[in-house]
Amino acid sequence: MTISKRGIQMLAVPISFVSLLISASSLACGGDWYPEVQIDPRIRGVAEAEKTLAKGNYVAAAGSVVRMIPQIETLGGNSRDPLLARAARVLSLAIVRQGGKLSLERELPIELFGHWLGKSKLDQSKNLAWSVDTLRRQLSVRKDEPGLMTELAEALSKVDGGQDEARTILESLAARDLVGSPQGYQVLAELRRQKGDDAGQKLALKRCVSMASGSKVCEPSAPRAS
Amino acid sequence: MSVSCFRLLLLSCASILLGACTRPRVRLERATAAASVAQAAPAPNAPVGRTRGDAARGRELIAHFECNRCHDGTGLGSAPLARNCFSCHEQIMTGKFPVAASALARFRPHVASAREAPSLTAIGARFAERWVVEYLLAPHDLRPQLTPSMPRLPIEPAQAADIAAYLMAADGSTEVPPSVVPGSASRGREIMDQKGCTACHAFSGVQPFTPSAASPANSDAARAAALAPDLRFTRDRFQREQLVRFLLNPQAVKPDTRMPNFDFSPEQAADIVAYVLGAELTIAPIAPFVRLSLLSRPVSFEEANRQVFSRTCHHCHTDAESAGGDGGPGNSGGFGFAPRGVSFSSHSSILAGYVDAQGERRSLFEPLSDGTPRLVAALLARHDELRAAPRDQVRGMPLGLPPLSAEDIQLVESWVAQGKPL
Repeated sequence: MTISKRGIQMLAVPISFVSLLISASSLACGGDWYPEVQIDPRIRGVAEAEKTLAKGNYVAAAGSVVRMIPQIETLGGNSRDPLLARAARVLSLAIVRQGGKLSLERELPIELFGHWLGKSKLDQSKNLAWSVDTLRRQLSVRKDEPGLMTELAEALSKVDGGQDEARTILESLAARDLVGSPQGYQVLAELRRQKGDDAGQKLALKRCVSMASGSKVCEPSAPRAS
Repeated sequence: MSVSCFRLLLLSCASILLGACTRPRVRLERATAAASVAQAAPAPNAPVGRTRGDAARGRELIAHFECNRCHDGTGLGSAPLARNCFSCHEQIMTGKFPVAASALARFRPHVASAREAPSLTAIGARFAERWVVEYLLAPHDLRPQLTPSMPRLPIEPAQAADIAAYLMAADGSTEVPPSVVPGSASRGREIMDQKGCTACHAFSGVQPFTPSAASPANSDAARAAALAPDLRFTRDRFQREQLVRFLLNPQAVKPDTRMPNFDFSPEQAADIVAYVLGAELTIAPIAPFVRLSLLSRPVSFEEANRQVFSRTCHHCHTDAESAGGDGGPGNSGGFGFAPRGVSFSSHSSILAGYVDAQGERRSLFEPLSDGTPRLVAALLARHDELRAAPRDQVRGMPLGLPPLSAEDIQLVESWVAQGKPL
C-alpha cells in the first residue's frame, strides 16, 4: 500500500497537535493520567505580600501587590475573587499604616505610580479613601469579621470625620476581646485620649504593648484629631 | 509552600481529580433495602431502655455527619477528594498527588501517620448494637497504633441509635452462626502466642505475650497493624458467636478486612474467643493530667504557631478565603458541626474568635467559669475525654487526635496569659 505525501501531511498535523496537547497538559499519576494543574503565581505572591505586611514592611508589601496586579485599584475594592480581595486588603492596610504615602519609587516602574506615592495631600487622601472604601466593601461580604473591622477602624481613624465611627467599632471589639491587632489597640488608645479618657487610653496601650511584643507600633501618633 | 497554599492546591485539584483517583471501595448495595427491614424487627442486642433507632433516618445522619469523609463502607460512596480525610494523604504518600516532588517531600511527614480509618462494612455482622451506640456517643481510642481516632461528634443519643440501626441493618448477616462450644482460655492464649496475634493487636490489661518483631514503617503489615484494635475492647464490641464466625473466616464476614485468615478450626476459634472475652484485665487508670505552671519567659505567636497552631489546629481551622472557600470543619462547618468561623491561619484570625450558637462573635480567650481561657480549656478537655470524663462547656481539641502534651498546653496558656503577643 502506498501512502501519498498529501495523506501523510494530513495525518501528521492532527497527530502532532494531539501529542503536543497531551504533553503540555498532563502529568503522570501512578498508572493514571491527570491534567496538569496550572497554578496562578499570584497565589504565592499574595501570600508573600501578607507575610511582608505582617513583618511591618508596608511599602514592600504594597509594591508587590501593585506590581502583581496593576489593576488593583479598580478590581480590588469590588472583587469577590478571594485572591484579589486579599491583595486589596494588603494594599489598604499598607496605605493606612504609611499614612497614605507609599514610597514606591524603588518598587515599581514609573507607569504604575499613579497616586499611590501620595506625594500631595490630595493623593494621600485619595489613597486613604480608597483603603476605607475597599475595607468597607470587604466587610459587607465578610460581615462582623473582627480582623477586618479592626483594619477598617484603623483606616477610618486616619480620614477626616472617621474617628467617631472608628472608636465605636474598636470599643465594641475591645469589650469582647476581639481587637485584631496591636495597631487596633494603639488607635483605640489614641482615640480615647482625644476624648479625655486617660484611664481607657492606658488600658488600651497596655494591651497594645503586651500584644506587640516590643515593637514600636504602640508609640503615640496616627489618628487625626477629630 | 504554606499550608494555606497546600489546602488551596488540594481544593483546586479536587475537581480535576474527582473520579480519577478514587480508591476501590466496598459499597453497601443492600443498605437501603436492609434499612427498611431493620425498622420492623427489633434487634436482640438493641440498646437497653430505649426503642431501636430508625435506620432510614440513620442513613440521613451518616450523610449529615459526613462519616464517609473518613470511612469507607458507609453506603454513601466516597466523599469528594477535597473533603476526604485520607484519600489525599494516601495520594501524597504514594506520590500521586499532582504537585512538585519537593512539595510532596514537605507534606509527607505531616500525613504519614494519618492514612486511613477502618471501614464500616459489616458492622451488623460483627458488633453489638449497644456498643455502637455507646461508642458514637463517647468514642475512645480503640487502635493504639493509629494516630487519628474517632472524633467526638455532636451526636445526640437518639441520633446515635438511628445511626447504629442503619449500620447494623446494612450489614446484618442472616447467616446462622456456628454452634459454639465453650473453649479453653489457656489454650486460646497459647494459640494467640503461637500465631503472633499481638504483632498487630495490642491486648492491654493482660499478661504480656511473647514480643513479635515490629513491621517496617509504612509497610503493608504496619498499616494493617495500625487498624488492629486493642483486644481489650473486643468483649464490649463483639458477641461471642459473631467473634467465632469472624475468626473462622474474617473475609467472609468483612470482605475488606486486613485480618489474615489463619484457618483456625472451630475448636481453636472457641479457645481464642474464650481467652479474648474472658481473660482477666488489669487496667491501670490513666494518670491525672498535670497542668504545668505558666512560663516566665516570653512566648511569641511565632513559637506558639510553629509548635501548636500550624501543626495541629490549622488543619481543621484554616482561612476559608485562602483555601478556596472551605476553611475546614472547624471553620466552614462539617462532620455535623455548624460553621464556627474559627481560623488558626494567622495571629489576626485567631484573635477574631468564633461564632457562637446565636451567631455572635466571641473570643477564643473568654474565661470560662473556672477562669480558664476557652481555647486552653478545649485543650485540657481532650485529656479529660481520654479519661472518659468529657466537659460540658467545651469539646476536647484536637478533635480525633491525641491530646497535646502538657508542655504544648503550657506554651499556649502562657502565650494567652502574656497578652497573645506577636
